[in-house]
Amino acid sequence: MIRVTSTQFFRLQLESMRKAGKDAFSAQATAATGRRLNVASDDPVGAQQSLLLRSLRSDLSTARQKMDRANSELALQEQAISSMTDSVSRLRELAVQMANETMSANDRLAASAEVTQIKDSLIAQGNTRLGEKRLFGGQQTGADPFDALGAYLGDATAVNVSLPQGATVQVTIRGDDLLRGASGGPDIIQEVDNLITALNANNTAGIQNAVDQMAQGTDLLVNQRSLVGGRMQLMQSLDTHFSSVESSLSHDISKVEDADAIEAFTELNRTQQAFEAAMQVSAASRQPNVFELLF
Amino acid sequence: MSLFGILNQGSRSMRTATAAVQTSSNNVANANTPGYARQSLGFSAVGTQRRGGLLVGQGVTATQLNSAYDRFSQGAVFGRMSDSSFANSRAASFQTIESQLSEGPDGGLGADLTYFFDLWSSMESDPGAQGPRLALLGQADVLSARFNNTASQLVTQQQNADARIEGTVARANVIAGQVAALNAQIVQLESAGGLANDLRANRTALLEELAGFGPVTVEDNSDGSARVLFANHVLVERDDSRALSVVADPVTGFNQVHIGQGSTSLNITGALTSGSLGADIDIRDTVLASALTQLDTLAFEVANQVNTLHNTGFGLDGITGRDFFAPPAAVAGAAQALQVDAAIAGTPDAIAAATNAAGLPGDNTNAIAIAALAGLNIMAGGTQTFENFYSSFTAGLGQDAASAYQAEARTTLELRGAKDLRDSASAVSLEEEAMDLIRFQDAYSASARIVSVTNELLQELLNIVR
Repeated sequence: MIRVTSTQFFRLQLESMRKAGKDAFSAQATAATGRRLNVASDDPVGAQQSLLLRSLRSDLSTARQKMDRANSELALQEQAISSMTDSVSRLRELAVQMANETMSANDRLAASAEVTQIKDSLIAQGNTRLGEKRLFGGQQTGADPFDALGAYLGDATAVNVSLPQGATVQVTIRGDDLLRGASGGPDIIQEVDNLITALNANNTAGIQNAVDQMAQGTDLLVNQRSLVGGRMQLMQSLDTHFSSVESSLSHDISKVEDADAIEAFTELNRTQQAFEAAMQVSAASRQPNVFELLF
Repeated sequence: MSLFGILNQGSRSMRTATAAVQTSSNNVANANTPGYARQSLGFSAVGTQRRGGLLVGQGVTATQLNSAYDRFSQGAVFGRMSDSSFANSRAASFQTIESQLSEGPDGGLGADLTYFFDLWSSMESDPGAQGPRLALLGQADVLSARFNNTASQLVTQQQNADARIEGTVARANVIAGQVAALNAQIVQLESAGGLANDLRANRTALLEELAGFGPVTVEDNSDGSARVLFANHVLVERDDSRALSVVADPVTGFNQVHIGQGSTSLNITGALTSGSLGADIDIRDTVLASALTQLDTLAFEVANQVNTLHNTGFGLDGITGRDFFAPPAAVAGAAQALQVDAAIAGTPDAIAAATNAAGLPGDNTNAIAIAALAGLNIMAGGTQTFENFYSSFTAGLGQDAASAYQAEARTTLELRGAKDLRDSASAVSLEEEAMDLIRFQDAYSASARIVSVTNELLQELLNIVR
């Protein structure tokens, strides 16, 4: 028969209590922190997943911040182009009015002053900025893209912003495309100058010509505005998409990292009972001491 | 047989019973002494005498003290002790390493790395502005500090393991000396016909401690001395012990364990594959060394890749050809040395977000290119992104840690099994001793009764004469 010695009794009790205590401790940690993943060894695969998911979520949130910023810029661009359109429409109205034979040379001189003002406001709108960043100068964002006379000082380079998965969105409209007809359409500034000259010279033919040019200018600006509107729409739909991806990522991260509350508390209960049982067993097996019984 | 003969016999059996009670008492006293093997008294009947036509027995005498020591089950305990101690030490080290590399909701190296590249990406929106540049510089400092701290904590752990090795070797030397001294005492006592059970118990306990340091083999010599092999090299031979020593490795500077061989010494570091010494060597030379290499490789690549692109770009001040991070000299030590280059630190305008000087300040294409590095397969021979590399590194470490914890649980059970087996054979059972006490108490009383009866018979005899 196998001998069971007192050392073995005590060793078994000690180790059972140690093991049960350790289990209860880790169950308590899980329940208290609400996390099943505290160190990588808790779930090495999950740890890797959580790192990558967190990194993706961080990338997405950066992208959404950039898109917010881009959206503000695009909205401002749209506003500026809309004001330009109003100005050019007003110029066309003025030109139609002044082309009328009943207008005197003095009337036309007076109109010329208003046209000059409108030209200045067109230039100011071309110099629109968000903070210190000029929106219509290409990469030349640090200084006004139009000088006082309306000469374009910006460059022709488009500025893009990168989005996740290699996508990019262009966030600039060239100022010379808008006001100087650089990519076709009328050179609005030049035509405004021509109109001023015609008004000053009381040249009805010249004024009549401006009516057509301003009409074409309005078309050009409306087209550019819809280009900006399209970009804004793209941003909006991407943002909706990214926002849902971001929340599903958060859900996935929680699934990998967080403990199921019911499971955690059941486990806590179980391990604590096991710990108590181990202690009770020790207390019980302490009682039958042979020497106390026999002597 | 004469009445005096019976008196003799009675007193002998009382003496024997007393010796047996004394043995039990010693067993009970040593029930919890490490290494103690239960002792029992051997008895034998004393030879017979011819009385007239009869052969009459002469009673009992204690022949020798036996020890229940079982060298086979004790040998198994030595082996399991080495394994369990190896697993325990490794698990403890992994716990510290893991806590240092853990990546929680409050961030970690992985999150810092992601955020660093995210800030490059944020800068695209307005490369001419100061805010994003300052944020990027701040995060570059955070990332560098994270690399520095993590690496130096791992290095500190290496040094701790190294220091533990030195301490353990010193203790092993003390044990070896004590075992040699005990060997001498045991041989002396036992050659004179004694039984040195208690000295043997001390020796077993010492050897068990030694087995916790590394692989130990104990061979019992016929003279009672133990020949001890440590990592397959003779450490104790009779009353002579060889010195273990630590010698700094010329390359790494880390302690190598040597054993004395005459006037020279032999490097046994590679043979220490179990015990706490084995664990410390493994943690220091394999686990931590490989973790450091991976961190260094990551820091080296991040610094170099960012630098290469940054050198081609232009700062807001129109200057090109500047490094972003101080260029690391070599892979080794790159993580500990990572820092923002002096030309960039504190000078946000020096960050080269533009590819062309002509495009300043709105040109963001270099920032886009650097931000895109995070998505490129640069690491592990062009198969992994920085993030993937780091996450597989932590996952690998987590896997190793999990196996270390499992090994700890397994070897603890195995050690308990081996100890149970040994204790079942040789430890003191209080129940058994209690029964022995009753048995020998009864024997003593019975013998005393025989003495008193014989005494009465003698009185009767004397009364006849009187």
